[in-house]
Amino acid sequence: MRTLSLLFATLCLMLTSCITEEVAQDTPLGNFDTCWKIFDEHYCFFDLKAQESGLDWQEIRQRYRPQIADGMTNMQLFEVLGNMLRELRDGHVNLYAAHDVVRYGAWFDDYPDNYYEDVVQHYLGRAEDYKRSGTLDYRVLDDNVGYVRCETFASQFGTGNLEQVMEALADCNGLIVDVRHNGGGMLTAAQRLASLFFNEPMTLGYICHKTGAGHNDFSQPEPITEKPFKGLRWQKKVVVLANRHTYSAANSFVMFLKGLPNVTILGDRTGGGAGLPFSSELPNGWLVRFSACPMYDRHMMPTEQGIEPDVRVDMTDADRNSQVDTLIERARRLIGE
Amino acid sequence: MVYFHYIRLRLAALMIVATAMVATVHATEPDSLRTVERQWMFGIGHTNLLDTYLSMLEYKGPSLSVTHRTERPAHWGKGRVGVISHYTAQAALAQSPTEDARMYDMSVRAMGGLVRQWNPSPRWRLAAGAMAGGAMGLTYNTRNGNNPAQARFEASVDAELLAEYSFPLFKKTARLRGELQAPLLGVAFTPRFGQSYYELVSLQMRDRNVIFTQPGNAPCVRFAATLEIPLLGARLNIGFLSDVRQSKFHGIKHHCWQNQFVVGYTRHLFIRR
Repeated sequence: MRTLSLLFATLCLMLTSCITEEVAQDTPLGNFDTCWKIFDEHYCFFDLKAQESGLDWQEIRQRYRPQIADGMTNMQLFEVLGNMLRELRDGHVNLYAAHDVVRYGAWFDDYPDNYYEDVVQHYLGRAEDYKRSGTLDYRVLDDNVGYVRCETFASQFGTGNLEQVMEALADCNGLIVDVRHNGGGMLTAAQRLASLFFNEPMTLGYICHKTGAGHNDFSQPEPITEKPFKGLRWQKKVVVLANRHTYSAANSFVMFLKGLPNVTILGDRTGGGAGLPFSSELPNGWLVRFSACPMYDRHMMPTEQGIEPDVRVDMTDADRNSQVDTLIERARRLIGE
Repeated sequence: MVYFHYIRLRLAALMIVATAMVATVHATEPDSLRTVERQWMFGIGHTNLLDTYLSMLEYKGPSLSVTHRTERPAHWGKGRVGVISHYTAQAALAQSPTEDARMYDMSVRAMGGLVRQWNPSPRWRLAAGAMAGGAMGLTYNTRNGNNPAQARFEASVDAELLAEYSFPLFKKTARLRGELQAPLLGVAFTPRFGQSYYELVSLQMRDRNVIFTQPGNAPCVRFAATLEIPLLGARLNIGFLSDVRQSKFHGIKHHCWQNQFVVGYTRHLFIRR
């Protein structure tokens, strides 16, 4: 009976032990503090941003917190938080409110597009002229070069999809894979598409994650390995077209392929976005998104700031006006050389 | 001499008859009656949900549960040891404080164990023991991108306490029961603080994802108070269920507090041994 009493007392103690998260009030200052804290504990690129732009997150707090006032409107709060988050210079950092989304776009706004949908459509032709398998549009160009347009990695490629594309383009002299303006999606889809271009299991890059709230609390980077595609794989020249809008999982796709034999990256530097983004919320319901798991290339180099192409090519105005895609034409010449 | 011989014969005959009668009585009377109690409980109530892997905010909303509970005496222990099992499934739909997002939470749990019983008075039954089992569950946030859900797998050894009080009600016996379970030791799956499910599932990367649990890092308790009323050969149950599931692993805080009104029925099956 004594043991029973002891057990009951222990259980009663356990009952009083509640696990909760201390969240600030839904006030301008409460929302500011919560936003700052979420990034302070979870954001993964503080060191990289400090090297790149001298970012000091504590200093950011001291600079922006005085701009918060009790009576400020939601719009004013949104503006202050937006300005604070843009200091991170990260395309994966967003603040979603009902009226707007904070986003950082200097990584593409300040550079030429190098991609015009009407020009690309000129190459693909009418709807009946090209084929579509999953999210891949493809056709054989006049000079027997295969062209694959991949505008998103939002959904996974089926084995059948990739087999059909490979079979349809198997007789081509070379392949152009166009991931310009591809804003990303699923990393697993990027891995799958990349698996068409190597014949042995490969380390495509590295990834790690935060193990605690400290700015330097990271796990050991682990290799991202991928097996080659089981069906028909591409063995000839392949040119990957990239521009500043090649971002996130598309940036990873370029990272996976860069340096492989027969692969040439052509166009502009990619947009970057090498941090797998997580989401959280502020007390007022606004959603925040931030880079959480950093990825590195196979040489353990960061690609958050984008990947330089092997061949730098910009779209010319003359070509643009003539419905000619400078990048595609250069890729065709490279394959023909 | 003939008289004594006659008496000996009659005594012998009586002994044979008496022995036969006793044997007959033993043959017709059961050794004992074993009672198996089967109880179904359906709960509806309120959930308070927090998972800092998904959001810093507490989500609240309705929840449902169904519990199947059985209890029977063990084959050994002279009726003082009982075997109890619990199977529970629950689902909750919770909204963020600003109603901008939802979380769906569901889990299943199976526990079984032994209890030592005491009867300090004819109306009271007390029991204490240990149960072992496991649970799995998922919390899904409708708004998140790469961290949309949190999976839970756990196995534990729980303390089990039970108190019953029987009392007459409309010439039958009603019963008040309080039952409490609390995990004492176990193991549980958890991602690391900022580990993605892409790493865990797609890349099969592990980083101390199975940890030992104890009341310090996972203080949980389940308490059910029910009133059992005899009704048409079964027993109608009404009561209250409070299920407090909490953890703090690798800096990720989780809680699922459920308070539910429960209703159900109990059937007693008498099995001759």
